[in-house]
Amino acid sequence: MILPMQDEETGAEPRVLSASICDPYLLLIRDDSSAFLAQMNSDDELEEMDKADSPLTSTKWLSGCLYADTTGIFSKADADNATPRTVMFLLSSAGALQVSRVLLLKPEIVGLLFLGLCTARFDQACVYCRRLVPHSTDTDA
Amino acid sequence: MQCYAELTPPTAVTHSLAIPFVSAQSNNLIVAKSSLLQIFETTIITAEVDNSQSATLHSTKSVAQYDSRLNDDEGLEASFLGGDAAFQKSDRTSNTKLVLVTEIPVSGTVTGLARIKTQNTLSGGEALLVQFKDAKLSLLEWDPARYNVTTISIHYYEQEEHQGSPWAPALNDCVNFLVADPGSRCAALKFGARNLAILPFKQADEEDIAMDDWDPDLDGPKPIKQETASSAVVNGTSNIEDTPYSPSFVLRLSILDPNLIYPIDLAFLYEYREPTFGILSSKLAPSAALGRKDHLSFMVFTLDLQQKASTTILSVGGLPQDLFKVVALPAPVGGALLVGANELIHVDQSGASNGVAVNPFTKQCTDFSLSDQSDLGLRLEGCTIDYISPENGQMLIVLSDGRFATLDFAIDGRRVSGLNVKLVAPESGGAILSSRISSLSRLGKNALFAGSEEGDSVVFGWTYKHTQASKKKSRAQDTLDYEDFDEDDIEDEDDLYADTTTSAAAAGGAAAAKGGEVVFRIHDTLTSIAPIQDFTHGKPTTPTDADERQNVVGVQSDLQLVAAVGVGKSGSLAVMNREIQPKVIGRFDFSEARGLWTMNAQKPVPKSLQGEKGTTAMGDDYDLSAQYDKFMIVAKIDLDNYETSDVYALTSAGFESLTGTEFEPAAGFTVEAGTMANHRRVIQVLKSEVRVYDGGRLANASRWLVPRLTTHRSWLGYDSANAGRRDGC
Repeated sequence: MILPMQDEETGAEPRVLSASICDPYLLLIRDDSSAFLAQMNSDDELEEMDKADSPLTSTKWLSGCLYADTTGIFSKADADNATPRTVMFLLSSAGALQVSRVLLLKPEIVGLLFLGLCTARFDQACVYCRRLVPHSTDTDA
Repeated sequence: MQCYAELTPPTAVTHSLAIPFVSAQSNNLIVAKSSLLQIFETTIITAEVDNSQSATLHSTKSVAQYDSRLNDDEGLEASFLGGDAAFQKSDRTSNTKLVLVTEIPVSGTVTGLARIKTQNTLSGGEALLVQFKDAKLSLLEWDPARYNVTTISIHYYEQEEHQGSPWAPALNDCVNFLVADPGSRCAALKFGARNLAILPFKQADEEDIAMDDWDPDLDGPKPIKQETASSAVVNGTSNIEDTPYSPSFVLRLSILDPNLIYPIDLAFLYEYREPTFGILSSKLAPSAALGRKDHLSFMVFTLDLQQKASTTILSVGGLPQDLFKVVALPAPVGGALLVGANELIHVDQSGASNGVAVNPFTKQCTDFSLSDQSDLGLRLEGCTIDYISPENGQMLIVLSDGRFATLDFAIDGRRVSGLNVKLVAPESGGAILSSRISSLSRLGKNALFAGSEEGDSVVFGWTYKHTQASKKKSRAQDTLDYEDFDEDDIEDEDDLYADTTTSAAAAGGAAAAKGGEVVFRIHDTLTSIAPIQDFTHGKPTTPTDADERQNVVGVQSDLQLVAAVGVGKSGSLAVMNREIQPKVIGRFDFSEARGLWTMNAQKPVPKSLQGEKGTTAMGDDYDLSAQYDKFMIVAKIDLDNYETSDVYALTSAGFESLTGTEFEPAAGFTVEAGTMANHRRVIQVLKSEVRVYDGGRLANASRWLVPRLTTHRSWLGYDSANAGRRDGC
């Protein structure tokens, strides 16, 4: 099957800049700084996740990466199920790093770190993260 | 000061300390390498030990006499391995390994470490007191929110008024050392010629102890305990009450006692209600040349931190002049052990002393009454001492050449009646260390970390070797060895453990009664290239085979650095490279490739065998019954800037290009490729769309061989530099 990048409303066809695959999710960052999240459903078909009014659509993103959190280092202490939760890291064009959990349709924000004018790109193999706490708003140069 | 570039970080371990730092339950090891502080976590892994390996002088694995019964968990090993288990049985043993948590370069040279249990640390663990060169102390704690170390406070004693007279030696010329009270009530820094700085720490339960005697009928209503935290900031000034320590004060040792003119060493003793330290000192400067004999004295003082006063508890004089160290001993032995170059003397809480002479020179250098073991011929200069087991008082002495010796106390009721030193035989691991060590820290019940400035630092552990007669005791002994990490055994042998503690106590602490000879083994190593005696650079060796030589072009570096490192038996050559030197096993040109992705895709299961959908977990677990195809998707840009992608399958003949699938090379440039849905679907992300392929349909294709690719044998490695840079790096 082919999943087109075409936006039905505007007819624009943004090109894909980078992608991150982490079973069962797929994250695409396109050249219009939008993020596209798709999920593999039970029929083994890929479909776009509905993320209507989440900050995912409103912010401009430079780079993003999915991470399978098997050790629970990014989950809160009250995590109940044992299946690895996928955590999504997104770097916005303003330099903010957003970490959220890709569980249900509405990703919740786990922590926010301001990285200044950092234009680093995420590579799936080298995600270096410090322990984030929900109330922490440290400035890191 | 940035006038130099550091090529390799410091590797010689100068100090080490075991402390629950990251949290109250963690078992951390702090290692100081001059200007680098490393924090390690310990983890225990089980590994197999080859029983058939014969013992060599420098064997690091278990020796042939290793008693396999010690590790046989209820005979499980024997039953699992079957009939030939008797010959080539490999035992499972546990190794304590170090895992690096973080490292902190400090500006300054670390000259001492101590652990302090303070209230209200951020992580719940203990605080670390670091002594720096000259006379500066830093109190550090772990901040779990930032995953790093923060400084609680800095104390320095380099002011002019502490220097004393103008002819007194400068701070760098004096031996400055830090000691901490085992009950964490205070820490003491001996600096300068004879100054002692005391840093008291607040204890949480000081007030509560006083309150226990409060009787409401007699003394009236109990006053509400003042919340000190609320009075933290009053009128904008921070209250001194919210720090874990009280203001420190400096004492001149001569105020404690006029005879403390030349202090040699001091240590805080265990089992006293108030902070109490024992100090080894003399009225005359120690000198072997001047023939001064037996002028040292050991005095014990109790400090009253509130009044800043001290009381002398006991004093032992006439001690040999070559004593250099005081080691405080916890219960049940108690007292202090004085270490000298030729003898060991134990002084207990009442002042009674017992000593042992370990070489023939002792008779000439002292008249102090000592028991004679001079046939051992040991030289105790530069030795380090720590506990093997505090319960029966067995201690380990690591000599200046790395050899092990054990020290046992003959305990008579509650008194120490004698000392016994024994060298550990090389067959029992007595020679596993090859150089002098600088520090010993206890990592677990049976593991110690030995830091060395002249060779590799190691984590070593020990087990007890039992004779045939004490087989029954060995079963009970196992529970002590396994206690820390083998929870499964605890449930079975809970009752045995209860018996063991009583039997061990009844044994009276003598090693002979315990029935075990200690066998040492290395668990983990921290490589060290110190001290570097000399170094030079040279070209690395090139392979003789012409094909292999072609393979390493552009990958192998042109120059290497070789250094002569280590001292004595730990001397070696260290070869250093700037980059990793991979062993190239194959290489081919693929100039138009720009990106490369490999994947395993599940072959479709025939409908008749298909089970329920959706029962498999969304994980990375490979389904053992499924068959897998190996694919490689390559994104190419050829000379005309025409972007295509290609798919190859890995077969026994090598990589073969696939045709007849639904994969369209002309669709464009692949941005990313991978598998999803538990390897059933192949995902290809193109610039303008995402394609999802069924793993099976890619495989059902006619294949034709690409001649260029099949001249190579089937291999999985390829030269990344030539195959094209990975997109995004």
